[in-house]
Amino acid sequence: MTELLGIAPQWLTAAAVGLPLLCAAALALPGRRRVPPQLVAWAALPAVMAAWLLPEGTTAVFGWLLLSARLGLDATGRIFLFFTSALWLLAGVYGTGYLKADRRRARFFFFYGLAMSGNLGVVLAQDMVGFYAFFALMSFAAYGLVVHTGDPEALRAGRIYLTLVVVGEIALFSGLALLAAAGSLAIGDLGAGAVPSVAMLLICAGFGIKAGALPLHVWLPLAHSAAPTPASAVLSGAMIKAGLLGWLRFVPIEAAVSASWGPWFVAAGAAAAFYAVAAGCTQSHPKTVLAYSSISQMGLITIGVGISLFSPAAAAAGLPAVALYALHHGFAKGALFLAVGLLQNAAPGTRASRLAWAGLLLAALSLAGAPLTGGAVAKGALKAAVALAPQGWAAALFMLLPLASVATTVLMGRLAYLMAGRAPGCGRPGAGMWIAWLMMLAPAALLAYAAPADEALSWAAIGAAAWPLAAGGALAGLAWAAGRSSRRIVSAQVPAGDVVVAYAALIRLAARAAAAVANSLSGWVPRVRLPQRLRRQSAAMAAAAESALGSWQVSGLLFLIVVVGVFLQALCAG
Amino acid sequence: MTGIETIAADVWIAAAVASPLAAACAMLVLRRWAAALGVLGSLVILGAVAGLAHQLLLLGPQQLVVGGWDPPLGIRLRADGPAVGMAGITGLIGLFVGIYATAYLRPLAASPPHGERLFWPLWMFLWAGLNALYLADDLFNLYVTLEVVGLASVGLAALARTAAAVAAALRYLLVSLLGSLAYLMGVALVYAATGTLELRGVAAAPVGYAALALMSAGLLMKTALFPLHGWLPPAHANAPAPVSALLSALVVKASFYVMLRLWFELFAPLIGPATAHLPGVLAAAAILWGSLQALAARRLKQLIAYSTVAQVGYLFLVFPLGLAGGSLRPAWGAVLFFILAHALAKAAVFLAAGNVLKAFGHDRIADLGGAVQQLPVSMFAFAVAGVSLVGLPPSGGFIAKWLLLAAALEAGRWGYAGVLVGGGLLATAYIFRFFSHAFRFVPESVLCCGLPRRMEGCALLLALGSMALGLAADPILALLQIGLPETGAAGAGGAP
Amino acid sequence: MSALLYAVVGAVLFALGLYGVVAASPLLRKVLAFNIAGSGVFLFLVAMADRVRVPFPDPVPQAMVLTGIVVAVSATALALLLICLLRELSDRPREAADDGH
Repeated sequence: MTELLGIAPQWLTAAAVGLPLLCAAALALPGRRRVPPQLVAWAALPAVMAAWLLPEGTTAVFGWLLLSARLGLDATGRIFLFFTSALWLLAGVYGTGYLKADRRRARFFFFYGLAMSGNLGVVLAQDMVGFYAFFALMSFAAYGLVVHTGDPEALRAGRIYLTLVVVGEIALFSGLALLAAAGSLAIGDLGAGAVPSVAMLLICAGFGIKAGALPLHVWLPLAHSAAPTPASAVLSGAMIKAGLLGWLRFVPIEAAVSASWGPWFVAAGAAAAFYAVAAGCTQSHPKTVLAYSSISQMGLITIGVGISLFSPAAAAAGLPAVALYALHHGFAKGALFLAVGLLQNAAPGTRASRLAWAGLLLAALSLAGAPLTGGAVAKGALKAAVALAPQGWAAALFMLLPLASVATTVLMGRLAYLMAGRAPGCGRPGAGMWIAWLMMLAPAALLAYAAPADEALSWAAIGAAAWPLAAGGALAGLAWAAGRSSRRIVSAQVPAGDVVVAYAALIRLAARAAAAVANSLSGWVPRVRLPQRLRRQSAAMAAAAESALGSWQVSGLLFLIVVVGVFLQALCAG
Repeated sequence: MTGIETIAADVWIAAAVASPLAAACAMLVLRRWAAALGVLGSLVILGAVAGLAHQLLLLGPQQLVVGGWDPPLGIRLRADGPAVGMAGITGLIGLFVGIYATAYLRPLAASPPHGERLFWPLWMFLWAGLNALYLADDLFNLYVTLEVVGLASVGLAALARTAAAVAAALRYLLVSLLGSLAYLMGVALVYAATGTLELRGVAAAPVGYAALALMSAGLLMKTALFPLHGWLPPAHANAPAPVSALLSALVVKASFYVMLRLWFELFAPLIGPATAHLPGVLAAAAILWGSLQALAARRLKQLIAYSTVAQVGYLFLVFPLGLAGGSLRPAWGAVLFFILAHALAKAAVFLAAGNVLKAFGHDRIADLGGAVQQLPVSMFAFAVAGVSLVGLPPSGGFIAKWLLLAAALEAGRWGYAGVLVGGGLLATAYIFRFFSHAFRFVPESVLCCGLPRRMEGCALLLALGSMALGLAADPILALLQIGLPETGAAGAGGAP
Repeated sequence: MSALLYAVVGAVLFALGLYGVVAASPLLRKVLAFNIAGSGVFLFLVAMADRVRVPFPDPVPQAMVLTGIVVAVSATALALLLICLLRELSDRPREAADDGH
């Protein structure tokens, strides 16, 4: 196909990553008034083309780039590239309209382009250093998207986001280096050697932060809801999947050592799936609810990854299921975020508002796995993989998965409740925003008819998929009714980012405890206002030590010690 | 010695050393034209180094026997991967810092007869010394070039002519002389033991060990490895910004480069694993101590100077990683790449700090609120170079740290791997600490004067260079590894 | 035999000079001590020339000493210049280096 177009594959892969970068750079140039910011959105086109046209197994080696970077497309990469590129393109087009009146939209699209380049690079990278470099580019550029509005909430979200990004980067840096020491830099060759458990832990945690895995998810509800709506769509739809892709690329899934990690993944995923719904149901901001829903859905995907770790047979079914689920969730969550944005803009009661409501409900149903939607296909694939898990696990998960659908339905009910009670909008979203949204909605809803597995369309499957929805709907309706009669149920609230408050408290507590320990050790320090005093004293001590090191006598003595030390040591060792 | 290629390489080598010398002499005569001559000379030197790099890639290591007089009485210069890499980075940084200096030193030039007019000849002498040092192929020439570098640097450090700067320069001079003397005594001992000045292996005898100890201690002092770093922060922080950039980016690396040559070539037979860990331990301490002092620094240039103290530590990790059981090639490539990455980033950071100093009239970190909104280009340069100092991708600093970490893990040195990762965290902390002040919003302008565009441009270009270095890491790494010393890696000759 | 004596004396002078550079307090004395240490090294080198006597003493150490003297003279000149400058600027030539930061 690419030959027909007369484009060499390596040019297409290079353009997919390079064009967004170039467009962003063009925005940063001093004469930026000339370059229309929305150009950045269309910079995703080469990536879209690559996803459709490039043959699998394409690799392009860029010897001069980094440590000989390799970009290419494999089976997993194609699925990821398919939804990642589409989401960036559509959300960008949507954003052109959404931010039309925003004076800082050039800045927004600058970061948008950088993050896009990073995300597409992550999908296409076939070597470790390249993957890590693009991952970091994406993570740091997304900070600019999170804090775009500049209000205190966004800045707080940005700060927490950045802290976790830095922690994640360091974990990944060490973990990947350990992995590289055990094997080679090419992604295909990983897992051949034995992988140290430390490396596994660091990699799982490092990518887990991006994927919103449970104890590390705290940044996600804050950041995804603080960002402007098109950025939320790509954060929740596309970038969150980069963490998942990291797991798929670097956790040696078929190696025997990994099997013991399977239960952990399954347990963490199951916990996330339900905990996030519980926390999300107490939120009062629609975008925060959606962010919690992302954590919950990523939990289900994590279960899929865990199952794949159990055995090669399970991996054969589990990995495609995981990729399919990621694809579906990307489109559905993107469509949901954009629908929230549309509804916030459209005046209620109009045809536009009704259309947006219909789309919102359709995407929500699809996310919950309603029959005849893409969600049912994704869930069906996940179930098929679960069947291959060891006996006990399979039985437990068969119980859990429908319950997860129930939970998702309840959460979507909460979203609908919040949207119904929102302040009425008064704008008129442009045609571009509608088209982008509909194109994102279509795959989420219609995936069922594109998939070859037509058993998803059978009556038994429809029934199996329908009852959790009915149960969830009933529960949500009950809660709605109860909420009407007494406001107490819905007013119980968990702060967004839930345990982040606990983490902050823990850090403060640890600091206070350390100060108390230091206090008890040095009884002569007065108890009042100790940390301040301690800090000043330690700073003074460091300064004194430094000026002592700087004096002639001490440095002369040290010089002598070094001379004698090197001499004696070399003599004794030699 | 025949053939057109060899002759061409001879010319390039000679030009790399002779053209800065000639430019320096011309400047002393034609004082009025010093700046123009300087920029012109920089371009010529850069061209010579580029020609040399081309020859190196085509033909492998080159050498030049000056005037046809053979060693030991004659001078022989050799150009291998490390030498050309160092000369190349010196040329690049020299060019931009020179252009920057033409703007920065203007007001100095107006006051008494010094300032800019002295900067240029001193810098050209320094440049000649640096290039000769990279290319030198015997112990005594290394001594002479070390002294040329040291004396010229001291002259530059005193250029600001404030009491603090002159005191710091004097101190720098005495430390530098102390280091050189120890080195020269080592040379005498080596000559006594072997009867040659070549960089070949020394036999294991007490005299050899004494030479090792004296020369190493002298070079550690000149490179300012903890705990012998006391002279560096005042000298680098009190010099004019372009001089600070040259001192921190290049001069410190020159003595380290000599140390590298000595330990891997001359003293290789004497150094066992235990000895190789000695600089490793000091390196870890340097990273910790320098970073903590940078965190506590009150002035921006002091912060950057202490950052140099910390980053010098990373360089010395090469000895335990390359000589204590690990394989030589990765560690060698990693440390040379680290030198290049740090040189570019540190030069950019110092130039950006110079812009802050010029525009604000001071560099007290706590009072630099509004810097980001009023000096966006300089602060962007600072941030980009900071990314490289911290070691985040895709900067040169990231590739350098990645290579070091890979070498540490391959050798199974977990402690050093921990130091590398922890050092990155500390660097993040001190860079962020500055930005937490610089980002503070200040409603009205607090700048005391505007900046010429080239001052901001040079800082930005060097910062972007530190990024580009990471992006184009592979070919540069290949060039640096041409002519790898054979100890520990038999037959690992370099092909591009 | 006398060569060995010169070598030992050179080494002792070197050590004394180093001690002086580190321990002496006035800056001028540090500079003088540096010169003494330098002379020690030169003496040691000259003694090394005695290793080869036939047909003439080894010229390499002598060349090194000559070059070394040139370096030492220029370094001394620079140090003296800076001391004068410092006195001019602060009227305090003693150990002003320590409060440089």
